[in-house]
Amino acid sequence: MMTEKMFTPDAIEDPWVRTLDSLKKTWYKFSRNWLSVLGLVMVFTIIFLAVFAPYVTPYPQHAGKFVDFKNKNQPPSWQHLMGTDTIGRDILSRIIFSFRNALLMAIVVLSVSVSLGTLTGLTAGYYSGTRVDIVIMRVTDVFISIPPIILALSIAAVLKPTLMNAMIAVTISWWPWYTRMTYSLASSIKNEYYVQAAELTGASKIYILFSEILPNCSSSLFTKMALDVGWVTLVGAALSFVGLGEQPPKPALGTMIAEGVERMPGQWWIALFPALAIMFLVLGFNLFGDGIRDALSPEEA
Amino acid sequence: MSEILLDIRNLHVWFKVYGGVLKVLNGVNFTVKSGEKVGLVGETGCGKTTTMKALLRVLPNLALIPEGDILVRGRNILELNSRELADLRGRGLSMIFQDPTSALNPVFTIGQQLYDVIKYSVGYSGRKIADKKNVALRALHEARLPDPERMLDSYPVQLSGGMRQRVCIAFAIATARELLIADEPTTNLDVTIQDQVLRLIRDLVEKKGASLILITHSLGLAREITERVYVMYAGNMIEMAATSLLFEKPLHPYTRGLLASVPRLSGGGFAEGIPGRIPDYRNPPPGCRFEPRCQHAFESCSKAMPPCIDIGNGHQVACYLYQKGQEGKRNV
Amino acid sequence: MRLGPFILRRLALSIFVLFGLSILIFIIARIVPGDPARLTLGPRAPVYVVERLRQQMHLDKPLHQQYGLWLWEVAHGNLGDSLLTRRPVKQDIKEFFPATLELVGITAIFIIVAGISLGVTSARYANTWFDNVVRLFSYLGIVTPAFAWAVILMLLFGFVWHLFPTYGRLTEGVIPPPTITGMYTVDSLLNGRLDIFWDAFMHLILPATALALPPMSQAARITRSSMADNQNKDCMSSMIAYGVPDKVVTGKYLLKPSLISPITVMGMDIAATFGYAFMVEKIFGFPGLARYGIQVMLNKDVNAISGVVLVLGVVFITLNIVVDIIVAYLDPRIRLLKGGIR
Repeated sequence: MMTEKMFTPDAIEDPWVRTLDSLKKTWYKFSRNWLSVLGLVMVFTIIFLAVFAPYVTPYPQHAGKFVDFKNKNQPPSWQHLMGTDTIGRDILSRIIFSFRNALLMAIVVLSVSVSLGTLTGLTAGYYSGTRVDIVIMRVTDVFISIPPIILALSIAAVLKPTLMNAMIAVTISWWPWYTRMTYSLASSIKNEYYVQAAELTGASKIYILFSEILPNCSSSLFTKMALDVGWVTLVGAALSFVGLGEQPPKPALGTMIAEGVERMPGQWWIALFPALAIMFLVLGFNLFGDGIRDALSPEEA
Repeated sequence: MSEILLDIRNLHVWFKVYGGVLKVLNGVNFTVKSGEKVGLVGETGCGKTTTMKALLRVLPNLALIPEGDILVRGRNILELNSRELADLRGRGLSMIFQDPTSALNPVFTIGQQLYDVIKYSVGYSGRKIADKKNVALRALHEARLPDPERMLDSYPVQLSGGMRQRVCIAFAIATARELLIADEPTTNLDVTIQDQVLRLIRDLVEKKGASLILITHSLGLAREITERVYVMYAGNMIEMAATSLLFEKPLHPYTRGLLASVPRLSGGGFAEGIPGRIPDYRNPPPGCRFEPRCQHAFESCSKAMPPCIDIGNGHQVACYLYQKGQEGKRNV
Repeated sequence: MRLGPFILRRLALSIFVLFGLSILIFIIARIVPGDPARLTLGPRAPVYVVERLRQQMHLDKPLHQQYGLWLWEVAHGNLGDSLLTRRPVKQDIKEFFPATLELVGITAIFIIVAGISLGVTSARYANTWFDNVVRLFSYLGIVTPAFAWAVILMLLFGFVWHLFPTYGRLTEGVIPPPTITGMYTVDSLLNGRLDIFWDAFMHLILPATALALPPMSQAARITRSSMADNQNKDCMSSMIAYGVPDKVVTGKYLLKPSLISPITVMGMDIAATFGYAFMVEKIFGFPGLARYGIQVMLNKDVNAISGVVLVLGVVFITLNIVVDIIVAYLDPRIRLLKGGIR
């Protein structure tokens, strides 16, 4: 209603210009809140650290099999900005390396659960009211009735403690939430006129699902995905806290906290810094996710 | 009898939003005499509902009123505190909203909401539930609703759209004293129900001797019910006259355009719309806000907002075309 | 339908879910870990002893018969013995469950009271300094997991400033009250021992706060936005236009529909708290069911796992029912429309 130049000839122009224009607009909406930009910076930092870990950390070898009892339990100092742990490993380096696994887990878990979840949700939503809907949603409801952390813990506890199994556990606990979200979006979108129009013109079901309905869910989906990176990391840390998931000596945020807790309050840095690191990661992705939500939301009249 | 009930003078309303300020109302003048039926016509987005919300003082938090007064029987209500306001409203103000579904709180029964409305309307002195119930039942009955007893215990979701609107009218019936504001009361209803609802509104107003402000984008509706009509565009009142006069001799180019854009049943030919769109409220035109779309615009039009010019017979226009000395430009 | 029949329907449904849960537990207990008899006796036991035990445990009978027998045992409270503690599981649960229940209970109270009041006040004074401070802190609250808060709170309020105790349920040397419910706070009140109550309560404050902070912040946020969203709705303007006083509109007409989202989310969060409780219990040395649950899971202690899952299952089902009933009371549309509002 406001500033769109809908009827001017410019709009039908070169598709590259249009994409650039819409990117500019999205950035404008994103950047209006300085917190979102802060979130973006934090996310970039985390990704950068994770990708370039071996080159960026002061003591990369500490992330592997490394023992140095001489330097154990050192408080934070200029050599070890976050101190060392019980067997002399630099905590800062280990935290940076743990970001790697955290992001890896988030990527794997989200790719699978988002794909699986949206597929089931779209199908159930489009066929809402039929048996397909009922079957899919009942199964989903069973999973949803249990809080994800508990489900993930139970599944991981039954399997052998490896990173892969932890990822499997979290994925199983996570996909139903995407099903539920896509389901409610799809079942309301399917009643929109443009979907009915597509049906009338004989478009195939697959086309309708992916080209008409899915794009309209995308803003909610992307927002949720961005926010979920933080939450998946959280659940992953909970798992490794107990000893499920990545096994030592590979660094994981949860394991580091667990080790640190034993040494409280004397060597407080061993537990505190990993805890703050998780906070940093979740906060960053949360701010970023909020910004995505603002950026993708339609203009209000 | 013909005292001025409501007098809005030079009202400006701004909304603070991300990236600027929406200057929605640009000096609105609006009066209603007691017992009068006044129409407020304009397209979607021109500020009709905002004006009413300003009058009721239910504007959202991000709205501010930099200039202007709203006088109710001589008292400037912009200066009242919330208790005085509640008192004033209870004294006999009622409003019927466009969308009856959203006008009724979905988690309370009709009865609960009706009782509260009755309880807080001035002039109601009953103490017991039974008194409220009587008033409520009577109002529901007058609104031609079936089975009023059961209605009291029903939730809005159990009713059809037409019934919900009639419930809203029942609210008005139960309390209306002096002023009923009906904001697009029939827009969201089936055609068959529209007539009933309209008749209810008219009967209600006439029986209580109340004033009516009918907000609508439908000219036909305004013509049917009102005695006097204001035409609004982009935050300004651009024309005002007695209803029959306005339809006979529309003066402002916008009003003309509106009337021309109503398709005729006889005579054939397509209706003409008005090209262009309403302005961006963040950067409104400095002069007449209709100027960008006006075929008859000339230099004065873009410099400053035209004043309200009295043509006589109670007909007023805010257009430079009708200033003394501009006869040549008009093609009447 | 009215509220009464709705509650009955929910209860009936829960019985079904309970049965489904029991079958699930049974399957996990019998099928997943391999041979339960072998597990009980250890790898060095001779084969014929294992065979004897298998017969005793009815492992040679068809599955549905096993299920029936198992269900019978469970109904009589016999959940078998724990591999880990070598005691009847029932005893373990009786000892540990009340502690966790107490912890989660206090946490829930914190969440509900603080979450809603902060949210409502924040909405009432929207965009003032109070609102901004609350929003900032609730954001931090949400992104910091319970165990991180546990570490931070423990350091700050346990060691830097010695305000609260940081280990166990009671101070060394304090004798727990005679057991009625197993929850020290409740029992001490019932026995009139305010001193023990105070001690137990102090021990609960840090862990409960750590657990409560993220959900409480979430609840405050949702309450606030729910109220802000509803505030501009026509139905509120309508009430105000008719002269209903501000206080009534806010306290009654605005509050009721706005509580629907927060309560639903709080229900889920309180359920999730049982999961996060184990970490907090470990950090604060709290001997609770959550900690026990994790240990038995890691040790593949089949009987104990079944017991824990059963207890937690019942708790979740109850929680769900309570939340559903409250929400149905708040929003009549749910019980009136078929399938609820989508």
